Amino acid sequence: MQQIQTKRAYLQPSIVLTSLLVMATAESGYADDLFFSDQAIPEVLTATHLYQPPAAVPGSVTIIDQQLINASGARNITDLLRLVPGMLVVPDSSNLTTVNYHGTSPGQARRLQVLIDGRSVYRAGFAQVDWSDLPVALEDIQRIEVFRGPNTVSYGANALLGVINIITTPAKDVHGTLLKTNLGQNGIRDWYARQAWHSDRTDMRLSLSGLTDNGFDKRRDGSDFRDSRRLSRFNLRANHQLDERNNIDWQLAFKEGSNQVNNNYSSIFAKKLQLKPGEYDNNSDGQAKDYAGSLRWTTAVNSQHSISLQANAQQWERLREWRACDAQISFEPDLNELWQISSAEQRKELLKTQSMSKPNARQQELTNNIKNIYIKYADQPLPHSCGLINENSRELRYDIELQDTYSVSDSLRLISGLSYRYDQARSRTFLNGRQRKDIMRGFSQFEWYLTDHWLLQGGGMFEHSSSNGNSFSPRLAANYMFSPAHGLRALYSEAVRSPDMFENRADWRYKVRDLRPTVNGNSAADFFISSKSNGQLKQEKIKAYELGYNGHFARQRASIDIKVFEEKISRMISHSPRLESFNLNNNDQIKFYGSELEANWQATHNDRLRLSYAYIKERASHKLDQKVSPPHSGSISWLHNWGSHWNASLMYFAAQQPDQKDLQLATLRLEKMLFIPNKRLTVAGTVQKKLNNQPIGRTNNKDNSHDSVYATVQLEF
Amino acid sequence: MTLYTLPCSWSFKQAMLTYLLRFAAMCSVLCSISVSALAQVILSAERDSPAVRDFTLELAQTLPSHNIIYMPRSQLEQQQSFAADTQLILLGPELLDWRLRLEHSNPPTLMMQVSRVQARQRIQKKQSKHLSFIWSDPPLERQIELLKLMQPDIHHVAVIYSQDSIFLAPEMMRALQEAGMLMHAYVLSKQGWSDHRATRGLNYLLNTTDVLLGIDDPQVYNPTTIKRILLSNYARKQALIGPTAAFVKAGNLASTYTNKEGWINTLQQLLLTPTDTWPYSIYPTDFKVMVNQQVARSLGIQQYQPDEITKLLQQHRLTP
Repeated sequence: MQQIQTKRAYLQPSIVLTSLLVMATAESGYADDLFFSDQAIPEVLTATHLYQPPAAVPGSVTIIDQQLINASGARNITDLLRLVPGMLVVPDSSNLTTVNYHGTSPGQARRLQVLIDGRSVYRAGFAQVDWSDLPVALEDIQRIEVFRGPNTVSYGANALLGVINIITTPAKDVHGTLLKTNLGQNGIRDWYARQAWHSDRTDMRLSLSGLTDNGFDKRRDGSDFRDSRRLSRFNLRANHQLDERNNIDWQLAFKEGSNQVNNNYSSIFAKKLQLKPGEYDNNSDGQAKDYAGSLRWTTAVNSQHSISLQANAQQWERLREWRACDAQISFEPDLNELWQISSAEQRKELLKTQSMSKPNARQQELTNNIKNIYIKYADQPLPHSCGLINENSRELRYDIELQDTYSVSDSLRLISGLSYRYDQARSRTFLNGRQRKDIMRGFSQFEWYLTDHWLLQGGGMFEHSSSNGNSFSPRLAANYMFSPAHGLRALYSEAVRSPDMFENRADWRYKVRDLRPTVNGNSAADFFISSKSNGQLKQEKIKAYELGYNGHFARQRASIDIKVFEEKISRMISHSPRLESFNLNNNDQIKFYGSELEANWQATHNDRLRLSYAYIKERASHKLDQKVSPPHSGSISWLHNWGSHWNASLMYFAAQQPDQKDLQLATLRLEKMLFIPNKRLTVAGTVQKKLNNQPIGRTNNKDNSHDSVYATVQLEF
Repeated sequence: MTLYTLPCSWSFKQAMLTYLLRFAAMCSVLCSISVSALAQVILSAERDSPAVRDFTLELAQTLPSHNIIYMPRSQLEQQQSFAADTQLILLGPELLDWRLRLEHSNPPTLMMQVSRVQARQRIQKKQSKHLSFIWSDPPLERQIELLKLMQPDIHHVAVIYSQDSIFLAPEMMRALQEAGMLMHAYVLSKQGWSDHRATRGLNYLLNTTDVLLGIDDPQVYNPTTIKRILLSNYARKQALIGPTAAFVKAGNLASTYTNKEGWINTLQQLLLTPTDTWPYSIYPTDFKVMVNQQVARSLGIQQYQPDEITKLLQQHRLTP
């Protein structure tokens, strides 16, 4: 009941008000809704949606963003990977490039996990990544995130040395139509077309593209290098917002093309053969087709909890058949049998001296038979036959992964998941049929803010593989955040790599068909040299330690990441399998240590500078892995906006190659945008040049024969 | 009521009569006084709700000398004219429309829950119709101060306007310049976001700036469009300040806002001053800050407790 106030001069509350006051319940929260109604507004950046600030990441991550991709003028994803500190990009030929992190023999580049939108793209049977054959156009890539260091916990099997995560532009970020073409030296003829459609709940983008070039000009020995390629791609990606909580993103990708490969086949009997041109193929070009489809369903259970399910299906088809010639004796059943029943040392001797020590009775008998045939042609060329051999393979992978992201509280977030993968490879030549493998995987990781400054993150992955049994890979990281923008990190992680189907189940033999002339009345025969994997290979294992600092200086608009690392790979499979001696084993190891630096600086509104540097020391037990890692390597990039829609960029890459002169590459690109009503036209020119006469790596290409100049025209409307 | 002492020579009857007469006189004087003191202050809102009624009661409690009553909209709109000393407190743009249409009467009115964009859509120029606005959207300078506090080194600020809010651009540009920042604007066409060029324009704008400052314009920021704007902005590791505190739950970094007590204080101060001194428009002087701490942490922004920021801002307070 309101009291009559006597403190003021004129106060007589009206009777009406008094009665109202009596009724007043005065719940203050109620009236708040009058000025603050946020019921209708959705929670967009929920706890499960938020990403970590760079200083809190439990590892080193390099992000190659769209601005860098455009400015680099790169036509291949592998060219972009040179921007990552510590990444070794070695072109074997123009259509075959290997990428390794820190080192190990370029011929064995199978220790990186590579994903396109969460779909693992290393081949099912051979664990290598055919970079030129990936069904993704550079123009469709929004960014590439490279996680430098082992991380099977988050990224799954094969993430031994690092992870390359290619993220394509979601359909909702693409608008209208885009047409683009590159024309230049070296036979460069690329084209790209893209169209996007949007409706209330659906976004879709379709892109078609093609690439052609002549590759390197000359081999190391001066002969012409036949390594052109031609390919076309199709990519369709769509996103459906089913309702407030559920979202589906799916894509279809397809690539077909052919890669030129010289016919390098040479017989062990070459000196005793007289081959006529036309009997054999000079070239053994390959056809490569990749098909992929993936679907991802995400549902927000509530703002703290979201679940996603991703299913992928992929197929790789590699066809390469050509006509080659060899002495008829190499198709003899006796010689085939002799090879089969001989040991590895005996086989070596046989190839060298045409005889072997300590033969058993049957071996002696067969050796005599062969010698009798061979002796007939002591002073003449051996009779030869030419037939078709192939290195065809068809691989397929299905996988499905369920991931659960749960924010237990403001300071603890859990990400867990289960996945199943089925891999299958079919190859007459490499596997003598079909091989299969399936892997079940469970993982869990936590992010725990112990205090505002201390962050602890860790996790583990458990894997059960039908061919390699069980394994567990743990990971633990502690970050100390001085402020949300600056942090120190210390981490330890382990990972394993299972040998791929070829390494562990190879049954490598060339079956020749359509022999001309026939041998013993047969037009089909087996070439006598073959090898088989002993199937005893175990998983490679890595243990890595890292200390790092990541900071973002808002005033200077600069960010920097530095780390020192030590990595040890044990039970390493280093030997390069050859037809004469497969000989793979787990007897090798390698240790890397060093430091890496990456810095980005928006120096002025119009200038961006980027620096990457790596110092790597390797200690390898196997010859093939030695002297691979450049002690010093890095890149500097400068992007400049001249105003009036002129943009230029200059990039310089350098690496100190052991036993050779330095590698130095430079790229210069100049671009102008013209705005016509409702359209945007971009014209650009790119020059790529090797600055000294030095091949990259110990490979085929010679000198400065990969320099290129090309122009780009792009129209958007 | 005071009692007069009667001179003792009067007879009792006469004394009583005098007493009654004086009482009547006193009453009439008092009645006339209370009539003038009890001039009506009518509060009305677009929609009747217990929240509005409670607000009226709370306001009345702080001003017991005023006769503040709540009148539902239906009843209010039937009134053709009001007493000369009636004051109105109206909530919502629909009541602004009604008030502008009122011909025969011109009671001094305080408009609340109307934003600058909403007012501009209805009134192109200042009209001295005894209309005073207490803007519902946060003052531009205060939002800019908040931006400066949370992200001290930002220079390039993106602002999205629609055709309805472009009139704010010169004011915003000046305010940003005074704070040492540069405005980059994108103006939506008449079709707003459904224009297919809009998202491209947004992307181009966000690529060249470091933060997005929102203004309360439902054409630009509404429950349907906020998702796309926030995701595009956040993908570039940028924050959105504003447009109002309601969007902080969505994922905006922060915004200033005024709570119920702040509104009451502002109304109280105004009601205690003569109506001819009422300004054309003001922003409430009391404010608080709402911050999305999770988003702040994710963007690497120094995390303040909301009370800290509020105090810091109040020290720098500019009166708009």
